[in-house]
Amino acid sequence: MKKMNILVFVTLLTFVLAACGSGGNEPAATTAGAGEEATKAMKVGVTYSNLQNEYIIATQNAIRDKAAELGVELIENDGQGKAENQITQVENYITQKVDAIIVSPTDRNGVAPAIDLAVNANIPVIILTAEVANLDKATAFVGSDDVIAGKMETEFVLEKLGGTGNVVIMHGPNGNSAQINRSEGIKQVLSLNPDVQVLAEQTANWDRAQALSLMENWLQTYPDIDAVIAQNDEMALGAYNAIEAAGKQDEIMVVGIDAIPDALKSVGEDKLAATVFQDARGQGSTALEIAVKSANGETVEHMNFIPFQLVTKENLADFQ
Amino acid sequence: MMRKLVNRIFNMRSMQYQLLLTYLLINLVPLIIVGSLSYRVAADLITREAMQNNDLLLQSINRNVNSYLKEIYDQSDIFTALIIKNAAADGTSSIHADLSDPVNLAYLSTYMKDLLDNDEEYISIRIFSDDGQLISYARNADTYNHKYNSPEELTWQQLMKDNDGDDLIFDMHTFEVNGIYSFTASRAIIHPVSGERLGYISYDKSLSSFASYFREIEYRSGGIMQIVRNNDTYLYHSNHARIGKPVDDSIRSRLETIRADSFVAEMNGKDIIFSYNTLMNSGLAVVGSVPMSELTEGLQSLRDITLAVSILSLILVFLLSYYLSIYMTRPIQRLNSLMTRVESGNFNIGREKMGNTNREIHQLNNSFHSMVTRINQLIKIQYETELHKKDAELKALLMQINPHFLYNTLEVINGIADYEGVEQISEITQSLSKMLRYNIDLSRDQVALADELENSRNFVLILKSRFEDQLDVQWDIDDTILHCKIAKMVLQPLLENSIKHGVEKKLGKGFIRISANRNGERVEIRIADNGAGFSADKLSDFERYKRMSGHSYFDMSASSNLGLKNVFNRLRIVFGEELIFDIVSEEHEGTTVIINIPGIDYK
Repeated sequence: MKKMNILVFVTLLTFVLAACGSGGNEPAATTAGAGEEATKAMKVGVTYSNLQNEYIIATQNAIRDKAAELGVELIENDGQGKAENQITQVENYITQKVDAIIVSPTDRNGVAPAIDLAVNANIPVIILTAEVANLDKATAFVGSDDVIAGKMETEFVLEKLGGTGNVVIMHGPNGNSAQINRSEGIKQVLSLNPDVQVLAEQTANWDRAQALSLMENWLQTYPDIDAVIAQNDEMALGAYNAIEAAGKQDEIMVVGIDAIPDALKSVGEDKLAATVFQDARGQGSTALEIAVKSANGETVEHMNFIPFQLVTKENLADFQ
Repeated sequence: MMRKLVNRIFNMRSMQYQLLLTYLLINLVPLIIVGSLSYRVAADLITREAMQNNDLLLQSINRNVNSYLKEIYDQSDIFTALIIKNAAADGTSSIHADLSDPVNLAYLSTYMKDLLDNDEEYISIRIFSDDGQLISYARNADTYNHKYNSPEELTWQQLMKDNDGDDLIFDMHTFEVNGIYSFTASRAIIHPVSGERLGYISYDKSLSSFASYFREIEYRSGGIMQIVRNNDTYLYHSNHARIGKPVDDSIRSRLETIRADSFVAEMNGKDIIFSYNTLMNSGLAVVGSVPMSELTEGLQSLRDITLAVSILSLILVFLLSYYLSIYMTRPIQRLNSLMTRVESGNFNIGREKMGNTNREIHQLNNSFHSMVTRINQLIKIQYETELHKKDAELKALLMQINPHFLYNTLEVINGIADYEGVEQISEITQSLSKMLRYNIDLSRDQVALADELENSRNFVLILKSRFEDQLDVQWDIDDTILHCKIAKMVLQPLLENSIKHGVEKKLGKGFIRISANRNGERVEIRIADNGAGFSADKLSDFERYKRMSGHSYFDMSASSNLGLKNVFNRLRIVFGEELIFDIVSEEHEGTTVIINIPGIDYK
């Protein structure tokens, strides 16, 4: 009996050590479309910029649903915010001889080589949500004009502030096309309002936790912030959490872009002031449709813009 | 002092405690030492690796910044070469070249449009004449139309004009107030042969093209990139709002002393690692900072694992030590308690099951038991020997007196008394004679109760003659138990005690009551007197004696006299555990001796 006890303990210990040793990231699972066709189903490879981002997840869901509807087989991968990962993933898709590739790029310049690779392999490549430097080489782009989104949220803030006040801006990753374009939209509006002062603008890499940390720093450094213009909802929510923790949620207004479910909920609870609806579902399903069409040899529009819409408490019901 | 401490916590404790303590120390001390050492080493390694990584990162950023500047510099060279080539193709042998010449301008436009089309990092390219007039420009159609009239822009143009040399001057500024940042670099266009300054070319590139080099650092939570120019202002800062603003004092002082370094400073309660080095020819210092916690993420999980494993091992060690110590010491404890029982006189210990234990303990157990059995036997033999010896002594004693002589003499006395008519003497001598016969007959040690009572009556008759009215004896005898077995010479010695220690020692009349009754299956005999009673000491002494008699071994010296203890002993020999023998007594008041025995027929 005593020997049994000892054996049990040793086994337990070994298991604990083994479990601790393993770990690390796992790549996104491979999904198969609903198609049960006798002929070979169309294969589309998708590389997402970063599945930590709720918006990207929404596009993923839309793509999956559309793929199920059309009977398309999907191979998916998560770039995890690194351009090199996405290049590797596209290379894999080419080796696997997919019929089309969809790329939601994490970086404008960094992911550009992947497009070249796909074009050289004669595989249609659709760019989703954010731009790449060599966009004109790609088969098509599906997204929304980020400059407009930047303008929308800034106009909202300025109207509420009455054209004057102190703002801080949270950027996406430097070099990301959405970041560049949204910045431009924001700056276009701000340059028309010289009474508004930009106290700080820094990247929080689309990340909620980083935004929280950054906002905490800013709250300590700049005592009189009036509004936070965040380039996406994840960062807006992170910033809001920091503001709420400091008890300043009545003094500082926060806006974001994307209209992810958490943000919509926040707007409904009078927390986030506004967000800009980016039609993730529309983008995702359109991207897949175009991918299938171009794989079948049809001609497609190169630039496919899906419009943005400002979301506030007033029209919140339309988006839920 | 150490010795004292060791003494206090270790010595004279139970064996289990000592074992447990030793096991724990033996296991835990090395565990703790090894665990903390390896954690230290690993932690240092990880931190060093992280810092080294940071340094390498900064170095590559340096190289990138340099090549960025060089690329623009080279572009302007291309441009200059283009103009000269033009002039030569033009046939103008003069070493002058006019930028405003329309043909020249056409070439310039083509060049600029090509550049803008091929490289979308350029926002605009502007060409100025020698006195600062804008001659031509091209802009990237995607970016909004800049007004180029911000104060920074005007300052910049002045700087440009004042730039006599060949160098590239550059800065970061906004086109409008609150506008987009651009990286602006200008260089004078100088005729390579004549050395004449023809004009200026100014490139505006997007901020993101410059900032993309810093992605590795800015991607980390809390990571900040700063590029300081001339130890003075920020060319670039991750917080774009600080671009162009003066540098933090803490950084400035460091930059002035050493050219390249790493250090840790605390900001807002967190430890931040700063690494920097300077680019010599451009007057720039590149400073990267990242919170320590980001670099040492791995450390956190290492610490958690180490802690978890340590705690697990601790628990394991403790449990094992505990069970081991019990396993070792329990049999010894059992043996110990057995020995205690034997020590108190109980030799009738059963053989205990030792359970699972080691060979030595088993042997110990066996040896102990055989030893106890042997002792038991020896005592029995000794006791019996003693008994026989006493028996023999008694017999020898009695043999010294010829019983027949006694009987005959008593007959003579009886005869004379009878003849002379002194009935009392006759009665006394007859009683005495019967008593003697009874006493001397050593052939039996068990008799019927009737015999004992007869003997007692004879004794009482003699007593009555001696004490007359001073003594009152009552009898309460149940006739149905007369045939019951009892040890010989029990009642008379007890009566004698009553007289000796009771009536004789007290003033006034003495009462003695003898009763013998049936008590269910048993017989109860009581001898009660109103004598001096037992003192508490003597009573407890007797009680102790009774208890000790439960064991095979007891004091044999009492068998030489016919006292209380002797009566008790002899009754014990006949009836063993079934005997109940109690003395109820109160000093100065009286005594009752109660004998309760099973009712067995005498055969």
